[in-house]
Amino acid sequence: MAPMTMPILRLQNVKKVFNSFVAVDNVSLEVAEGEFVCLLGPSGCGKTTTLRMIAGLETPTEGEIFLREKRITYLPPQQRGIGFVFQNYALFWHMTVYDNLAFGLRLRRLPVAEINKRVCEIAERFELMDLLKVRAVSLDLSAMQRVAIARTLLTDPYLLLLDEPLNNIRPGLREMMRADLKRMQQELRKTMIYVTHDQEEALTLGDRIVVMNMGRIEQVASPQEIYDLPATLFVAGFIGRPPMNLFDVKYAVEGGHSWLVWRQYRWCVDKVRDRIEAAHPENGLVLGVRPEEIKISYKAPGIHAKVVLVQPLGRKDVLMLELEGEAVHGVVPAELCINVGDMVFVEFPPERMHLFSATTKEAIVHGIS
Amino acid sequence: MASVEVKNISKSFKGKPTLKDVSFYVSSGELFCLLGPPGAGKTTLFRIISGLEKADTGEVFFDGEPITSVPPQRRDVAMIFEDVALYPHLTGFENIAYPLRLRRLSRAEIKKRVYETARLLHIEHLLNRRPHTFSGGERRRVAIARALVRNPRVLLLDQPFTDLDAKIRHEMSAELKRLQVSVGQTMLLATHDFEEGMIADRIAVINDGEIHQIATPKEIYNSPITRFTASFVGSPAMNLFSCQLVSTATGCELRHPAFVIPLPCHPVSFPQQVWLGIRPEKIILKKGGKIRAKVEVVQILGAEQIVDLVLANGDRFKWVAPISLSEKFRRGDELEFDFPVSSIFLFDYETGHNLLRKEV
Repeated sequence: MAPMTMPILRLQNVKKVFNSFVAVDNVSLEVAEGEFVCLLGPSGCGKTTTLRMIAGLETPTEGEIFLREKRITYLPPQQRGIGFVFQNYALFWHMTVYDNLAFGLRLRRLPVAEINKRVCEIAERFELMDLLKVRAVSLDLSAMQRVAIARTLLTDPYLLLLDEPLNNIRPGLREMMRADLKRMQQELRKTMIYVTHDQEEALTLGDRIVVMNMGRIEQVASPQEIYDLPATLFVAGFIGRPPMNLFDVKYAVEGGHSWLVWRQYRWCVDKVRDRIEAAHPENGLVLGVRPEEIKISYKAPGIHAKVVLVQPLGRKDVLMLELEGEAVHGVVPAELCINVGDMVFVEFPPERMHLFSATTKEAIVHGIS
Repeated sequence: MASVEVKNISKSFKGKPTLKDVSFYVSSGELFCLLGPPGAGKTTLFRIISGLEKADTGEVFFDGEPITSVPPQRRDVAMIFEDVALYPHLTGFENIAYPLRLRRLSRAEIKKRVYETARLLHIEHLLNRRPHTFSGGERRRVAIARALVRNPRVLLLDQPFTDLDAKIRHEMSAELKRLQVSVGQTMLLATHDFEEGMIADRIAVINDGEIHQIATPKEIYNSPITRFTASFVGSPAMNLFSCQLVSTATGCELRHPAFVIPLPCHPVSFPQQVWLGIRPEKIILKKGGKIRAKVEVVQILGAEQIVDLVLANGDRFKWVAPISLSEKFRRGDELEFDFPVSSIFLFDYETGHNLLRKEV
């Protein structure tokens, strides 16, 4: 889904090679004004390198970057009008919050009254008024984050880049700061690009998510689409907690019907037959089902499975099941009180089954009924 | 494998108490978790168990034997820290074999035990490689293998996975549970991440050097003894509101500036000011409900959504709703909710004690 309005930022076939290692490979992306875009992927997928090229801290080996339709590929960072919030916030630790905020404005030699006005305005908005005289070093993490973002916003950037700002913050506080950030962005409507390896952060914060793997973009879509309609096996296996269960299945036509076959089980796929056949099913198919969409009960029908491990998470339990000798994850409400050693019945709802090609690794169809 | 008993341990640093009369018992083969925020005293306690630190008062017992006078190297405790130190010049195999070589075991025995342990941790492919080629998760596995290979009496894991990617962190905690089940190793795990702690057989919640509660993960979640435990365990955290508990003709009611909830209980023994607690997933969206709130932020998380709401008096709370609800919520929407009485917690305003919890 491309942004409707004119993009504020455009990456065109951007590539970055370090020595012989291809860190970013032919990445094209458009970001709309006011959008919150998350770059998500495992370490080494190229997300931070992409961010650094947008900021001007790295130069692309190939490709072009445009900001408001102006080519900025080789422009030095300070001339781009882009704000960067670093992972450790990079505040001036010995200076007060006020001086941290005023720093950029003083460099621009604005009159004192003007600086004062702008600092107070932003401090008000970020709930920093009471902290203006406090040194940065003695702030709590949430206040540091607010100062770092406020300081960057004072330079009036077209675009704000954030590199894993919530990393290394303890759980609990992290969720709070995440919600703060989301609220802030909704109020300011500032375009933000946010790098993270944490899918929960990306799913909750992003208007759109760019999933990256080995330097390439796997999928660009809304969080809901990424979750409901993963475009590739990588996205299916990366998103979700625990990730999607995947099975190697076969395709067979028997008695005038089309079937997906796994061990002694089979599912009718007449309704999506054409799409499966167009994707060369003879080269192998992978069936995916999300743990939270598997139906688990003590009553038949279903595939018989044994509960090997129960990992309580509070309101939910994550189960590891042994199903025909394979480890399968399931998620159930804690109220079901399922125990290790229990025998249960497992059903895969056809409308929530995903099918991928084992060779191209791309999705063939979502829902087989 | 040994049982571990910690009895009345106290420790102060420069007059500041770090541990206050801490006691618990870990059975042989149990996975026991110390759960608390940074600075709660978890690491100090581990250092006392391993002998790196001396307690001011109190004793530690392994299998009923006091070990206070036993030097660290003879306690047979293995410890794994947040930053794992492997020998960079040695292969995976040699790293794991190291403690066995120190004990002068035979070559055949060493080989057998290293391979057995490696199989258990699914790291056979790392045995011939050097640590610089390992990922964060792989380094952690090798370190655990090195600790397990010598069958220590107790394995202490101090925030072993905190610096790993979220995804690998969750995989590793499940792995640890599987491992403990299959080898029956006594393990103590210290963490500030409640989800990591929930894999334990039992959890001790610790804050400011004091143990708040020792119980199974489900008990901790469902019947926390204190407000601290209630708000520390759960994601998103339990919602808390400062309320007045007032007698009425029929019983009593909870009065908050933005809502009133009648309760069937009799408030005789209760103080007036209380904390009302309710878990975000227990809140019910209901037309005509008593609690009216405005949507601030909607965070969608695959199968569910976390909705941040604000009450008329500015108090905020979170609601977890299934994504399957036909309604889509937007910032600014006005919604009506019910806090079901059966899901409500009440905590003493001063002491934080759970006022509704039945003494077991």
